[in-house]
Amino acid sequence: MKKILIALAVVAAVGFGIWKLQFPKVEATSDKPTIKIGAILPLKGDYEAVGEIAKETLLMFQDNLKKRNLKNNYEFIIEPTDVIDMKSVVNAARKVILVDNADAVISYWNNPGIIVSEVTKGKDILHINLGSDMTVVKTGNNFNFAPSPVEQTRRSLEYMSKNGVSKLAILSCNNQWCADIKDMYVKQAPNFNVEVTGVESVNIGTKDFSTTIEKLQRTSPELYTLVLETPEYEIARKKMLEKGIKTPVTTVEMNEYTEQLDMFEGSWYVCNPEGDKTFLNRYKEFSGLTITTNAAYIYDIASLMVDAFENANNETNATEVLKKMKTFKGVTGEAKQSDNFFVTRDVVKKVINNERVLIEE
Amino acid sequence: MLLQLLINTLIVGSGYALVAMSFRLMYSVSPFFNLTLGSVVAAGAYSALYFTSSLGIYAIIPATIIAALLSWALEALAYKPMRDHGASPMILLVASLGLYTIFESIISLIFGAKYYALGNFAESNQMMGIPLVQLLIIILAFATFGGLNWFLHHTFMGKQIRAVHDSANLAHIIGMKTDKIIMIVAVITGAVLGITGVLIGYDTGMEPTMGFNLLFKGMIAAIIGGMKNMRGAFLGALFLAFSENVAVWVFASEWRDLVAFIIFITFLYLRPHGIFQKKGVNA
Repeated sequence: MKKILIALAVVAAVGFGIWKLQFPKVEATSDKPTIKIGAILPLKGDYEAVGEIAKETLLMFQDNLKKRNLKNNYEFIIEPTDVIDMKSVVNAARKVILVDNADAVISYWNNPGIIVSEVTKGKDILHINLGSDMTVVKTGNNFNFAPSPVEQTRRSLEYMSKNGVSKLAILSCNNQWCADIKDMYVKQAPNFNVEVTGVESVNIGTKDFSTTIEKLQRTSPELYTLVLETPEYEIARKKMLEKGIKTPVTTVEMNEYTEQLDMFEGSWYVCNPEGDKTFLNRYKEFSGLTITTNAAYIYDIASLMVDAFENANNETNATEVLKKMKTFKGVTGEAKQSDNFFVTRDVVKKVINNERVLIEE
Repeated sequence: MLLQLLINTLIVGSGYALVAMSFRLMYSVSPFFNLTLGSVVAAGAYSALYFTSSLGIYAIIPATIIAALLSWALEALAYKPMRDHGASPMILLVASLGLYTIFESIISLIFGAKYYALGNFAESNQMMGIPLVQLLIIILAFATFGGLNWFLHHTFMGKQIRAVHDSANLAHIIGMKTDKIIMIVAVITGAVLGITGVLIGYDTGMEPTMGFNLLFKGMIAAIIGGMKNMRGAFLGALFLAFSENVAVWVFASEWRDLVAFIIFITFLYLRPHGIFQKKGVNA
């Protein structure tokens, strides 16, 4: 029994040491009040690379705060999750809110955002989600910060129209974000004289796309838009290539997350802005990373939180400060708030050239 | 279009068939729902991923050996001792669920939970308009079907396996080494599932849960076709794949699983012994 207890203690100590090494807390250094901000990031699974970018961005943000004279100290508690595994998100949210007693939480993407908004229910905790699901902002202390699917698809359709594309086939999957994007394409396409020839939605986890693609192919589209997530995105494209389909493909954001850009060579897509030059240079210098996916958004969310807590006082808490903030000028451009949703309007068009992503417009 | 549906059915159904036949073979000598067969599929795929940088396509050899060894080890070190202690099929099922979870976690710890593809997805060699890897899956399915049928009906070992399937107790009483027979079946099953895992890894990539998803479809196919019959497992897999593809074509892609499972439940209700199996007949 004694041996077992010693072994358990050793395992716990090693685990804690590894955790501390991997996710260092940036501690406060003075006697100013400390605001704890939990960040629930996709640092495991298929989107690990994206989570790593967000983590580096928050560490850089923390570093930048040292140069500012603020009334609070800010401590970031980074919790790794796998966005596909909702159980891990629930555990991370509970840990950050109930164990670490965070004053505010940042969540990444819609489903984690919905979960965090449920866990923060009835608590005085500010929550900002990098996402656009309206379920998140149902209650007062939850906010979204994202480009709107309406704007992203509008810009995408605008480029299609400009390039003479009049027939579009949509292959989407059954999650909230993909469904929103798909619906916006269908709704807005007539405004740009684009006919949606076929729409197919697959379930998450689908591996066999043969008949689905065959069905869309028979509608003779001039362009396919793939609104899928990894790995369905790559598998569907592989099946299209195997079928010898030469019709071009486009997407919203997904090429930012795939590791197999070679399959999408020459295609264009719309996605979120990368942030202004000063931000980008500082980010690349600090992190050593060249990929910037959503870094600017995470930076702006952290900035929003700090602004809210800095401007809060005895009468107005951070949530109320944010509610009153109608516009926010960050590194992603100007975001406008309406009903707890900060919407950025900038959308960029990128192309894949020699397996590299280039900003075109 | 029907031709295209049949080709798609053949491609998808062959993958299901390989798992269904392996499941059915293992079930015939060790009658419980062995979920670790899914771990064996994943072990084959991930072993190939590990060896592929140094061995290229020949990674299939160590991957198959590792999968076969894992299948044998599970049988020898986990299920046999449990059976010896009188564990019921329900206990073995629960144990296999636990072991499956352990293997899935180990794979996640070593390789991460992310999605991997074997080979280059952008490059696809084709033959007769079908990607080479899919053609290999079809050939392997037919070869396994033919080979297993021949093995079970024309070799002494095959006859022993069928005898154990009919009555393990009786086979033991007349002097057959039933444990040895089960181990041999475990190795054969492991090898087939290992190769299947590698080919699926090349075709649609891999993630730690890949084995369970495939095994699930394989089990359904075997039940639809008839658990007492290798032909049933094979044809059941093709039937399942055809139903899925027709569902996509006639309704929509998201109906695929719904239609497949409605068919499955209908068969369980109307014909629990399977489509291709007469009541009480073993083959």
